[in-house]
Amino acid sequence: METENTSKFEKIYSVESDAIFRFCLVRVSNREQALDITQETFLRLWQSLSLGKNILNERAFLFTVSHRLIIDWYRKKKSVSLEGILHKESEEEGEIGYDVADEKTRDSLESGPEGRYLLSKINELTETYRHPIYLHFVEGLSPKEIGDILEISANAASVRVNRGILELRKKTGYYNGENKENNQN
Amino acid sequence: MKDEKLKIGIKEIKEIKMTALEKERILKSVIHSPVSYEQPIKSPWTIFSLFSVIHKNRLVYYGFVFSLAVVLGGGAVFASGNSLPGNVFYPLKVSIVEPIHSAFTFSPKKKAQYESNLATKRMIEAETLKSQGKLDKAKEERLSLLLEDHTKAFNKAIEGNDDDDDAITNFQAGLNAHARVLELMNERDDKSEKQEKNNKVSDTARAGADKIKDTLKEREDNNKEKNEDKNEERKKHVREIIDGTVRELDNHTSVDVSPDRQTIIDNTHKTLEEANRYLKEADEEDEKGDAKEAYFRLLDSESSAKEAGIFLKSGLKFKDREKEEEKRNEDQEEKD
Repeated sequence: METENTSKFEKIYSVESDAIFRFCLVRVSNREQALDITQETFLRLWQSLSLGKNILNERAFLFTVSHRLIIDWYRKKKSVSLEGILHKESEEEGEIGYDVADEKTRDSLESGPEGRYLLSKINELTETYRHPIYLHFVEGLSPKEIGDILEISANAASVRVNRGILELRKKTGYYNGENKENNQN
Repeated sequence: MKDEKLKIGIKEIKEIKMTALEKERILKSVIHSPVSYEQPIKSPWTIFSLFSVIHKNRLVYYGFVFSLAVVLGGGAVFASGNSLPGNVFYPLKVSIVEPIHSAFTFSPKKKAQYESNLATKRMIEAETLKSQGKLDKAKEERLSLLLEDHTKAFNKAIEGNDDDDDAITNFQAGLNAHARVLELMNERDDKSEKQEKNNKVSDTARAGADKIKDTLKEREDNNKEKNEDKNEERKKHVREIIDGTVRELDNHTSVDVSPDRQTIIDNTHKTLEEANRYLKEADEEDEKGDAKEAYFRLLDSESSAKEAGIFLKSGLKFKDREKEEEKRNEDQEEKD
């Protein structure tokens, strides 16, 4: 049973670990902190698998756990953070946003200029659309999975993705393949 | 072009990854971490915990509240079943439970039957209150109004339905029989100063019975069909009812019958005589060739025959109940 759990866990880890780390990094803007949250997220998955709990969608589970850990981290940080005063905080989390502001992170990052530009534009979106846009376009999650993570309905997630892409398009001038014709018109 | 830039941007974001070393470190750290297999300690405040669980989970909370409402509501409905005017559950019975049941009775025939049963129920409630000495003016008024409503509803249900003569005669007979029981009880009531035969409920019942009779006659007047065939069938049916009531009477006839019971038996005999008289008149009308008139007589005969049977049963039932009550009171006095 234990070897079965281990091999199952290793398989999920090899597929999802980078996505979870990336999600944490763009949210907390600190590499060490992102690694800590990633470790904690996978530790929770490991505990659940070891206790024999049935997880229907591991991907959604991992993103949900990491999302909540990030929120918890921001709540703790809020009371001591100067950045929290200087930056505009969202009502929900008080988080800074989607960016790689950490110097160490910026230096060691292999992300190109388009990636950085896109992240900064995602960061400019209203908070309602930020997470759905990132999770859908970068990580390829479905509206249902996004709904489970953000604790909203799949329909609401879909609406936020659609409206978010319109807003992102205005900010960046980008459009995705489906909207090409509309944009040309 | 711009679409390409979006794709490039996403691709570059996806290049944000852990180093191989970082990945390895986390994997080892997680797999070698201890797993707690301990069961959580059960809270000694189990009841409080249950409320907490219910309160936290909205769906469970609403489900719990709904179930509670259903159980309490069901209990109230059950308690209202045999309630009498003056009881706290009586309004629930007559204003909610019965109208809802009536609303969900779609067939006119069944609706007529239901309203007829309700009218009988009101009469029995009046008789019960009378026997307990609790039938005051206010309750009489209430029961009379309800009785009128049931009569109207019954009339409405039989509109346009030509083959429910049985339902009509049953309704008529029931009202008349119970009105007679009530009148009998009133006559025997020592507390009544005026010794009035009638009270408002019995008057309303008789008025209702007459109204139904008029509706039936009006309908038959408009009916162009010949009645000869159905008259013969009806005569047979009426004779069977009369014979049945006679047999029932024979069971109760004996030498040692109390005066009250004898009154009931005598009254039943009189009603049966009335039924037989109407039957004879029906035959005479038939011989004259007036099938319609003969049919009306037959309906009167049937109504009287049914009335006799209902009066006998209801009257004796109340007498038996009164006797039990008296015996109980006597036993109680002896004990004291």
